Order: sequence, then structure tokens, then C-alpha cells
Amino acid sequence: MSIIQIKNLSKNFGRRTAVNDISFDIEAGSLFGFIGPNGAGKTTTIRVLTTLLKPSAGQVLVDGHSVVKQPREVRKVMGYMPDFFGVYNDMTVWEYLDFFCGCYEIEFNQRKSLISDLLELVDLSKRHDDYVDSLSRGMKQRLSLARSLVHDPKVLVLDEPASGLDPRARVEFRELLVELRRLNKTIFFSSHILSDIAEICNQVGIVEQGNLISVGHIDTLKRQLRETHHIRLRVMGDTVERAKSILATSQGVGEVEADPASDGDWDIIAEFSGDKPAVTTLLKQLVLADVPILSFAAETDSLEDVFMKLTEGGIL
Amino acid sequence: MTSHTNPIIVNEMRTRMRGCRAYVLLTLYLALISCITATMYVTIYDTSTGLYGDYDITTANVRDAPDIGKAIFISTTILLLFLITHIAPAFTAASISGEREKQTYDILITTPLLARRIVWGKLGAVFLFLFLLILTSLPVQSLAFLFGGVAFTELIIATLVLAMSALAFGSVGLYISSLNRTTMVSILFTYSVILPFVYGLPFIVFWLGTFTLPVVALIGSVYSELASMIIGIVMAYLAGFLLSLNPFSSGLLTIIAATNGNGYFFFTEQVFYNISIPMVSPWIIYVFFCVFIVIVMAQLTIRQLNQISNF
Repeated sequence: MSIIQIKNLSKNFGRRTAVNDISFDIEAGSLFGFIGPNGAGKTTTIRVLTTLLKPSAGQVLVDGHSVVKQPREVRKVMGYMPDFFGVYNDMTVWEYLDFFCGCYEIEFNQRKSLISDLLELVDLSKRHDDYVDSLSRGMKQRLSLARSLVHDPKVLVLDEPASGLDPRARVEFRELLVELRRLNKTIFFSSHILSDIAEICNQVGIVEQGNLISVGHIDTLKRQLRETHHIRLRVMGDTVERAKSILATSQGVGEVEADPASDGDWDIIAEFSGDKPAVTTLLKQLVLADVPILSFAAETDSLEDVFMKLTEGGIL
Repeated sequence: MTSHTNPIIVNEMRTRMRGCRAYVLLTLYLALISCITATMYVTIYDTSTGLYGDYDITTANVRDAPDIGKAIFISTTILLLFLITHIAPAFTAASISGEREKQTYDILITTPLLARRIVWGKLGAVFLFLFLLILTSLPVQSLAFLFGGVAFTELIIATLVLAMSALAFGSVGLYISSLNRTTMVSILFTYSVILPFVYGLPFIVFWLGTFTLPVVALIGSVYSELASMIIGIVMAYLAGFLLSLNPFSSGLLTIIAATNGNGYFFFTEQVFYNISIPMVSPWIIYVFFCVFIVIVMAQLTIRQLNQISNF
């Protein structure tokens, strides 16, 4: 069942089109990664989704509620974490969360335990009474996530949550999102850091210049790109030319490059499009031709490769 | 505290009253009020008894006490009115644009908190702080009662006028704040509306008033006495109404009316041709005008917050 439905969404700012007729659905319980370069229309889409911006055309439904006609209903089921952390001066961590509990009309007698649980979830229990502006950026991001969870929303919308975090904080933040998905939250999460999305998301949408280039499961996306792999092998000594000629004449092999490695060995990288049996056939051919192979690996494309290929401009 | 307690008021008061800032401000404010009260006491005492005259200090004190009491009361009330009409808009002008500057506006507006609760919360927080100023100054104002010359009704009217001024001027600042992205622009825009109203309106009315008498006399000579009488009465009501909208001229007219032996609610004013016309006391018109301003400004601000932005 789709919890977020975006139908023919467009947003223009004057003559400039920020989002151009995009449509996709997100299943309940998904961890959806929204990828695109800066200026692609990610934040504009998120601002429409979170009832902050009126669309020029199209319809956006969250849990069946229109973001334009029923913004309050949408806000009740959604937690939003922007790409910046707004700071109220002179406020402690506890007071910050208590304030938002008040905004979400959570009963006063429930707040103490709720805030304790949330701080424990984001590992900030020890900073309970610290001033918010004294926290590090990573801690502020985690506090912001706790803030977006005070009303136990069905949907979490996170705009570039990992930006500006150090590698350790990024890993911790990713783990938190996985944990939240386990708690059956639907997470809509934008980023231009592909590794963040590749490691945790089960669905992705790729946008460029306001257009939705592709949307679906990561594995499906890779298949859409005809399973292009790279074959990487290391061969001994002067057999490099023989190996190259066998590879060049084999079916499915594209460009072949060879670079000298240590101890007189050679590394060969060959573009290869074919399925698993084709990979084993290629290896068999090399072995039968007495090529002394030290290592052999078929590498599938990373999400980064998929992204680069999709955003080359030709695939729309 | 329950879930129905306005979180905006709790948040604003929590942060506003934290640390020594609020207490330093209150101390400075009370010191200023006390200095002015002491100055008024010495000035009135000296003027009425004559420092160099031949007088009996005991009887002079008793005789002049009501004047001193009245002077203390009026001066502290005017000072309070001045502070409130100038501080309230500055506080509220920063309240919504400040949220935008602190980047907390988006996260606040994406909660299900109703726009009207945000608006009344912001206005309520500023009102409570200003009301604290009014309350803390009451002991100083109450010194007037030791000297006499001031009725308890006058204290109630003064407090009501001050409280309504805080709300009305605060609501103007709040609406302007909801229109702007930066606090600096909000404050400048707010004062460019407030200051001409506070200082310009009485000037314009008095300036136009200087033309009224000759115009009425001219109409009387050219047309008829009745026509000039009607126009004169209409002009008197119009001037009275316009002056009642301004906190200072309204207060001044109320004091004059009360001093002349009229009541606190209605009075009669002699205009042209020795005609006396009944008038509602200016402070009543002013309070109703403040209520009107608060309701209109609050509704406009709520509408502004409810709008989903196009940009």
C-alpha cells in the first residue's frame, strides 16, 4: 500500500521550472532515497511534501491526505527534519523536546518518559540538561531526528540528514534510520551522498534538473542498465597480450585495459555485459587458453555508477 | 501544565526570563520610574510652596499633597505608556521573522499547532512580559495614593489603557513580522507605521483644528448659522474621535475631562455658539479601538501563517 503518492507534481518559480511533472508512489515501511545533484529539485519536492510549499500543478497525498487541502492532517502523520538545524537560544535539550511535545499536543504526564525514550534512541540521554547550542552538529542532527519523532509519525521526511556530518556520525545516523525502519516507519530521505543511500535504502528515486529520471528498487535500477559489469583479473608475466586477445574476441566484452601491477604481473579490466553463466564461460575460456590467472572478479556497478550513467543526459 | 497550555507562551517565557537579562531590564526600568517619580515630587513641591517664599512647611505639605499625588500618577503612567508603545512592537516585530532567521519557522509550521495558537501565544508572551512591567511599577504608582488626589478608578483605567496598548501595538508588530523574512526589516517597517500614528496623528488633528473655527465662521456668514453649527458639531466629534485613537492624546483628554469635574465615562464639551455636546470619554473609544486593532491584526497574521507559501 502506498503511503506517499506524488502525481504529476510540478513547481515553477516564475519562468524557472524546479520540478517538472514527476510521479511516483512510496510503499509503507520503505526507506526511500531521493538522489540528485544540487539544484535537481529534491528540496522543492520535499517542501511540497511537507506542506511548506504550494505546488504549481499535480497532487501529493500523504497517508491519503492532500498536502494542499488537508495540511494539518498531513502534519499529524509526518515528522520533518530539514537540512538545517534551527536553534532556540537559551534552551536545554529537554526543553527543546518538551516544546515540540506541546506543539504536537502530547499530554504533559506522558512527556517525561517519551523524552527519555527518544533521547535514549538517539543516544543523547547524557545531554538531557545541556543547552542545545552547545551540542556538536552530529548531536544536533540526532536531536532534530528525536524532535521529528515526538508524535510517533508514520512518515519521516529527512532532507539531507547526513550533510556536514563526520564519517563516524554518518554511520551512526544511518544505523538510526535502519533502526527506525525496523520500527515500521516510512522514511523519505534525500541525499547527494550516494553511499548513504546505497547502503540503507530499498527504494530510490533519481532526479536531475527537475525531472524524475528513474524510480524503483536499487536492484531493478541496475538491471535497467543491462547488467553492465567490469571483469577485473590479474595475470602473470608476459601472458597479458594473450589474455587481452581472448577477452577482445569474447562475446559481451567491451573495452579492455591492462596496467602493470607489482612483481611483473598485470591487472586487466574489461567492460562486460552478460549474466552469471557468461562470466563463468569467460573464465573457462581463459583457463583453457593456459592464461595464468592470479585473481578473477566480476564487479557489478555501484549505485554511483548507476547514477552517473543515468545522469549522463542520454537516458531520460 | 496540561497539553492545552500554549507551548509558545511556555517557550517564550522560559527563554525570556532565563538568566539575568530580564531582571537587569526590570531593575533599570524600576530605577528609571523611581527617578522620575522623585523628580516629579521635588519639582511640584518646590513649585507649589516656593523655595524662597515665606511658608509653613507643614501646612504646605498638606495643601499640595493631592497635586503631588496626581503629578506622580500622571508622570509614571505617561512613562509606562511611552515604554509600552515603543517596546511592544519591537518585541513582536522580532517574533515570527525571528523564527525564520533562526530557521525554526519551518519546523514549527510543520507541526499541527494551529496558527491561531501560534499568534495568540506570541502575543500573549509579549503581553505577559509587559504586564509584568506594569505590575512591578504599581507600587511606585501607588505612592500617589499616599498623597491623595488620585481615585482608584483612575488607576484601573490607566492599567486597562496600558494593557490594551501593549496588545494593540504588539499585534501590529506581530502582523508585520509575519510578512517579513528578517527582523531588521520587520522592526523598521513596524516603527514606520507606529511612530507616525503616535506622534503624527495628534499633530495633524490640532493643525486641522486651527482651520476649523474660521471655516465654521465663514460658513455661518455665507450660508446659515444652522449649517455652521452642524458642521462645527461634526468637526468637534471627528476631532474628538481621532484624538481618542491615539494613546497620548486620548490619555491627555481623559485627564482634562476628569480634572474639569466630568465623569470617567461621559462628559460634555462646549463647542461653537456656546453649545455643549455630550461625548464618550476618550479612553473608552481608545480601548475599543485597541480591541478592534488586536482582532484585525491577529486575524491577518493567522491568515498569513495558514497560507502555504508559493515561494
